[in-house]
Amino acid sequence: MTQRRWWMALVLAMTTTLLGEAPSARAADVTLTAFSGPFPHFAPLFVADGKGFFKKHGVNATVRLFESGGAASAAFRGGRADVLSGCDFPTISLLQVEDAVVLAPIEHDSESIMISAREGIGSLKDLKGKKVGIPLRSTSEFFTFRALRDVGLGPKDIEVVNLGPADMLPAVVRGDIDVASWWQPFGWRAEEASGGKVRTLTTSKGYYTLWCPISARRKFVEENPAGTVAFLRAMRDAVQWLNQTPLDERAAFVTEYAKGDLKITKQLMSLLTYDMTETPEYRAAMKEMETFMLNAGLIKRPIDWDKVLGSRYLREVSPQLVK
Amino acid sequence: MAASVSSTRSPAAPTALRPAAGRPRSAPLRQAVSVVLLIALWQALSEWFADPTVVPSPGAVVSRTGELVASGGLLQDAAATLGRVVIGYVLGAVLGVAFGLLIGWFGWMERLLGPSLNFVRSIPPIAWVPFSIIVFGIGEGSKYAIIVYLVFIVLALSAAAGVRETPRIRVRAAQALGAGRRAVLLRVILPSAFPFILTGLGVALNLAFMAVVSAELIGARSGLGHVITHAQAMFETDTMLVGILSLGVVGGLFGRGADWLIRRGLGRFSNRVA
Amino acid sequence: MTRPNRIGWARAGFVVGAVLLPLATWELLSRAVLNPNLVPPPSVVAATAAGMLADGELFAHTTISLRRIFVGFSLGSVIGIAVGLAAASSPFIWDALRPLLAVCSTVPPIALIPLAMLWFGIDEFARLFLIVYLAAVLMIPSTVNGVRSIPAIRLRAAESLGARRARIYLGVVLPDALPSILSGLRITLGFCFMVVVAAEMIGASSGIGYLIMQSRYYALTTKMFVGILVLGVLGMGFDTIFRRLVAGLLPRFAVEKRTG
Repeated sequence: MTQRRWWMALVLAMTTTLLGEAPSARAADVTLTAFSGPFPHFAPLFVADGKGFFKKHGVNATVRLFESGGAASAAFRGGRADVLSGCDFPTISLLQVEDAVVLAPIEHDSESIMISAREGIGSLKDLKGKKVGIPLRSTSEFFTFRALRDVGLGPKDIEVVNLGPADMLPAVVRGDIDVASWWQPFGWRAEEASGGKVRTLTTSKGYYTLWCPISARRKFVEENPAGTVAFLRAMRDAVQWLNQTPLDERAAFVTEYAKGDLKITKQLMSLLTYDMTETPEYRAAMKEMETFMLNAGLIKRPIDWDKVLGSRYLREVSPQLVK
Repeated sequence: MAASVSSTRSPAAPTALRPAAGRPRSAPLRQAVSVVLLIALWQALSEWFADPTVVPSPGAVVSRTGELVASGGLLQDAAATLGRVVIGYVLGAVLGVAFGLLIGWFGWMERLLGPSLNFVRSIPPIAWVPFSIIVFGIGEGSKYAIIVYLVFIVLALSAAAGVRETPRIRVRAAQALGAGRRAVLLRVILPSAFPFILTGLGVALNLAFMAVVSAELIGARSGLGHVITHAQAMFETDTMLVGILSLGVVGGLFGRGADWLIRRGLGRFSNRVA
Repeated sequence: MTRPNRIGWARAGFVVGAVLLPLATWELLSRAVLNPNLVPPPSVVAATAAGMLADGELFAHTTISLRRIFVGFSLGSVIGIAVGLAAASSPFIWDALRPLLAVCSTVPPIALIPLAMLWFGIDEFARLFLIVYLAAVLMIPSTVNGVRSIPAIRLRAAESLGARRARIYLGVVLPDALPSILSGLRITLGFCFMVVVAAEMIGASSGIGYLIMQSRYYALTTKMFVGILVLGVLGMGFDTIFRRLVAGLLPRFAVEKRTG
């Protein structure tokens, strides 16, 4: 009997070693809390949580969603999270007051940020002298002036009306403003609500790419380097899942997770590219945004990107991820 | 609410329960002392937190105020906000009192329109912003509209309650003595309703200042609400506090002034020295 | 007593009218004057609400918000009344409180959200703080007003009859201040419904306020109006319950009397 047991143990030991570790949950190596807005741009975070990728890599993550990126940032400021997902503009604002490491981009696109205009306005040049609604202190501010610069117009050539997108919707449909510089799904809604009188004038394609990175508190990163890498591994698995899954299925998942609206989520997700690679374009885009914000007086101190970018952690996940 | 409580008269608290009478003159002194104590407490808190973006010290807030006054147009912002509040408040109050008197007097009107009034009472100004934009656009009109709306509701309900509380017998007595409609209104109903209206005016004033912050989300480029919102977006806690405190100070001062004015101007409508 | 049938019909007519009139006006305005995409008519809102009721979503949001409102209201009112009573009987406390109160009375809870998040976190505590804060700020002046409106002569009368402090408080001060306090409670309850929207902007993931604001961010106008409708109905409903309760339990202090 004892001999047979001994054999069984040996066989078992060999099998386990050969097949590798069972895919069930390991004991957590790192615990973290992540805050995010509920937008599909941050889907990799949702997927990593909901599809078990965090668990797989030993990350005990709590993901909390806030009704907007701004709310998530404010909560992050309060010191109750380790990780924050955001877009370029809010991330750079945050870096002014928070010692954070920008770990990796998780999404980018150039179609979700766009400008809608009422009929009669055919091109960017026509914006001259018009009332343009812009949510100030957001990516739209950067995009609008960047686009205008290309056609030789400056901030003085338009009449800026500072509104949030939710309020721009009735304003542009009603005609109080001629142009709305904002993001989807507001463009689609405006087109619907105005019976086509308000249409997309241009997306940011050709002018500006929106980058949404994920950042973490420096203290957390420095105290948990292995955990940070594990976190990034989970995120990469999530990005891969998103890229391999058909649109319907991933939209359904994100809708369910973020308690959003299926139609809008699907429409949005068809515009987004999920990719964690740190490319020269990404770095250049962040620097350009920083320069704009410095010149506009929105931030006071320049950013030391070498210190802030978390490339080395990304490299540990895979050298291909940092170009 | 602070506006509607009398300021310098001695409290009518039980003599057994309060210190010796004759203290009223030192009331401003006591208030000054308490302000100083509060600031000291604040300073201690800010040192304990040691993070100026979480709890800025009083000194930081003061210096930021100085900066904003000198180069940031804080005074203009305060004036803009005050202007919006005043216009919205006066308009809303006049309309509200008139409407309230009407529905208070005509029971059938109250039964018909009262529930709607009670319904919209629970809805915060921020929920009305999109609606306001649709109806009034994005100019000053929609900002006034939000303030007028809130003030109107409070005063309509207060005035209606005041009219209802008027003992009918007084009205009938006046009518029996040959008083015409106008006399009945001015000499019987209004004095009876006055305390309610007064309370309503106080509540509405505070509400108007609160509402102006939501109102200034509608494309404003000036105003204290705008200062606060901008500071929030850029994580500037010290500026945020400057905005909040300015709003509080402006509101408090204006409230005292309005309180005094109302008692002086409308005092003749009241039954007793308020 | 006379002709009960006619009165009954008239009453019913008014109730129906009170509900139908604004709804009909809204339906008309929305379809004919305003844009039904931006201001959905009640028929559309009702349809969406029915759907949300059917899948339990509406019920879940409602119960969570109601719990917050009541906990915040109760706690805040108790604190407000206690502080108010203290302030009314001690000019020192009252003068110490006045500057702080004056500043706090004009600052909207919405402006306090980032501060509340920084100081209290993003959980239920921060949300309740906002509601408790508002309730206390509103109840303090109501209470003080109520105590102050007691004619001094009543208190002196009680004293001269030999009543001791506690007796004076229970027998004279509280009952006489009660109308003002009750009126203040009614107003405060209404405002607590209003402020739950702001409170639920602090990291909530459910609730009527959350529903309203999240729908706003997603441009889901109809859902937003469902939330607004529910909030209004709840506020109105509980206001009625409050009034009936007071009228039933403390008929002397009925918050609103019908005369004539």
